[in-house]
Amino acid sequence: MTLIWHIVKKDIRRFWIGIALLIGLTGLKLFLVGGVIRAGMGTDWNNRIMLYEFLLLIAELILSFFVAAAIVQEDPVSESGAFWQNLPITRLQLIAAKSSGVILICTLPAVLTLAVGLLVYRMPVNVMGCPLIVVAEVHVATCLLAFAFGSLARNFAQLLYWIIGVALSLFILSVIIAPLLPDRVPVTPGTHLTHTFLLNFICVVACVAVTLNQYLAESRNRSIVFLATGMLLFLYVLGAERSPLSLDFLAVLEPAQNNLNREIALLKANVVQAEITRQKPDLDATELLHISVQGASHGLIISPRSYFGKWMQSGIAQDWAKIYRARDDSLKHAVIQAFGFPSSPEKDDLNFGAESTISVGDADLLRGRSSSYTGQIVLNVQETIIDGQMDLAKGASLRSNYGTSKIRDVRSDGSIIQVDLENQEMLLTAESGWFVGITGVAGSASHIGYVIVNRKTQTVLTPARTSAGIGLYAYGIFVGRGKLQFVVPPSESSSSSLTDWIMVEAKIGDVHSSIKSFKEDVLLKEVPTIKRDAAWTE
Amino acid sequence: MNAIEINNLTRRYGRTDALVDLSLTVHTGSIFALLGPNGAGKTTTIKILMNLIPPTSGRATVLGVESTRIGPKERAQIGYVSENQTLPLWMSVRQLLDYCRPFYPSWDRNLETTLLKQFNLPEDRKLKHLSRGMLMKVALMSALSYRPKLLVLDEPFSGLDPLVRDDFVQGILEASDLGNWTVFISSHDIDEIERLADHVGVIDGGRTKLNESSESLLMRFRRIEVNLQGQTPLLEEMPTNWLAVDRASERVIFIDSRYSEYTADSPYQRYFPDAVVTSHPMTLREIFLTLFRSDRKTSVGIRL
Repeated sequence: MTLIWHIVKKDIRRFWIGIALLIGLTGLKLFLVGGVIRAGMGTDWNNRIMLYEFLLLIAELILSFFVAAAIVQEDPVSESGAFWQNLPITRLQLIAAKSSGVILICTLPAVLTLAVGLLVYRMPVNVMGCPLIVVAEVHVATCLLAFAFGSLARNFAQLLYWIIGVALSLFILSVIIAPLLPDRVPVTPGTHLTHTFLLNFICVVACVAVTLNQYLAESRNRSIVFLATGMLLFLYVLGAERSPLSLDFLAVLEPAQNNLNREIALLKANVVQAEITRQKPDLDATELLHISVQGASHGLIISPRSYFGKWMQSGIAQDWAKIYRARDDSLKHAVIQAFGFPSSPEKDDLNFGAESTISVGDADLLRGRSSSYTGQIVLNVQETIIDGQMDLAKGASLRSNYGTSKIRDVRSDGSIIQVDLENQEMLLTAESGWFVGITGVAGSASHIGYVIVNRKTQTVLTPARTSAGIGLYAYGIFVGRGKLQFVVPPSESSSSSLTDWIMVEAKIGDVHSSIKSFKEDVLLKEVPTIKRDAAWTE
Repeated sequence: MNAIEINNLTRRYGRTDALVDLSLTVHTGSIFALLGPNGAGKTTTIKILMNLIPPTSGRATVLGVESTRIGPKERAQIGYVSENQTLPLWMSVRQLLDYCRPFYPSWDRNLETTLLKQFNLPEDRKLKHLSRGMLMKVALMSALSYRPKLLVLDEPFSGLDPLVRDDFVQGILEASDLGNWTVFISSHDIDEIERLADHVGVIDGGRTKLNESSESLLMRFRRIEVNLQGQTPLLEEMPTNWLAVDRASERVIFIDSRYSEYTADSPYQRYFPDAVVTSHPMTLREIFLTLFRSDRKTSVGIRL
């Protein structure tokens, strides 16, 4: 153990400049993050600083990769004349020393972040637990790559050669197999999660196999075979995600998926309709389609899985239609359902739009002059869970699985209620796409939404487009601040006071259990006349 | 116990035989020189002895331990200096010594100080600023300071200018007075070896050609000069241990590889009854060259 630490100390002394630079980069990043947190949000320079913070993060990862690889290469296992071979140490001791050094390098920024977060920014301990997960995901991956390539290469030039070679090989092979893959067919979250897991697993196993083989078995040719096998498996799993060979572990492992399967079976029977409702004023080829989904059970949200629908004629894909949500009412409906407020059946329709970019001639066909056109879209079925509620008052807070949401300030001029909200475990972003308003993004397929509810009038309001949010991220520390604006209906603006309102946090979907995708054909309804919409803006 | 015993050692790289049934013995306390031209298999032999590569067949023991089982414990008793060794050039001499010291429980600080003075090494200078000769001295010093039982030097003179070579040999000789270690040195620089070695092994093409003490070797080989004085010698039937025979008009010169075996009855009188025969001692270099030139001129086996 003493000898292992002795080697680690030597490596630190050797690469102290790189390590100091790494600490400096992390420190600068934390300083910028702190600056943005303290300065507020919405200003132009905040966005610029966030860009710098992102660039610093990239620089930090690249630097930590090269420092880690340099530590490994300081005592190269591929080099026959390496000095360490004279020393009375085993290869096991060497790999232990190198692992310790590399782990030290890669955890250093995280430890620094933790310290700054706890001591300088006074973040709660439970919030700081997340960085460890991020370190595991990002920096351990960096370390593993550095270890594998560092042990394989005889010197720095070879290290670059290997990295560039592998990256180029992966790129060229992916280009070669790309034509063999189906078109942009979205995959289910379960499939995506399964394949992401498999890709990570392959990378980790390949890196560990190469490293252990280099250190303990000393067979470079075998390491190259491991590397090549890993690359081929990686490409296979990557390609298989969009093919009939795809895998979905969650569908097997997660019983909650069965409920969604039943829901999907019901929905597929009768729910999807589409009609052309509006046309852009300046371009014949662009249409706005109104697609409605009916019949979803309480607590379920149906939303487009992908941004694109596929328009087909005689079973052949002719074009893609961009799908978006003009106005998301699903969250509102879910809250209404959860609170048991009355609502008209037609309001339960889940509406979203599609914008086609097909040619003028084909647009004529789409207008219903031909019945051979059908659209195909992929929808998500998500469960909605109300995480909790809090008073709409300054200082009110709500603790949920997604962290503690805290109201920093509430202002109302009668017609607009503005809530300054903060959450220290997730980003609060203003999305102009599917979910307009403030959305906490904890994953690509699941969302946290905030609405305000007037218990007296049973009114549910979702954030307006004018809401703004900012999200900061550093080593797993999510800091989100949002200024949510709610437009109060004129009927209530004079009668209600702030004390009548509560704020509700809802979780829409969850990657691991309550989301599933299905593909559905959209039948176009014939619309005799279409009016150009002069007021249409993007 | 012998410091090194090599029995029928074979090592193949693909289809190439680097070593073929090599057998050698290195006595404890001796300075053994393994000689051979480039590609003879010297470095391969040492790598097997140091357990850096495994043998294809055969076995070798180092300090009583089979070479394939040499671990940290044994390595702490073996000093290894190689021309191919990559020293951590970013360190100073002092830093290198400080780094190496904890690895060896037997590290002798007094010896370290003595060697530092003897080799005249600048403690604070970075290794990257040292000459090749100085670097070899640093490597030798770091290998000697823990008083190894066996010192293995692989082509230590390679790339050194004559002055530095002389300096380095002097360093080894002086160091050998400081401890009772066995030295195993491989080289194709025979002049330096002659000053150092008390035992010589010669290999070529991975095969053993010679393995005996320097004293015996120098006694055994003689350059024989025969002044014929008008006689006609029976050169067609000359013994096979007469090498590099060169016949001029009145003289015959050859190398006799069994000179020391003769007692009273010298074969020279039978071949050259009335000629005047004089014998001249040879250097190790001359013996080495004779052996290899003779071997390459004829495919007939030479009796050494």
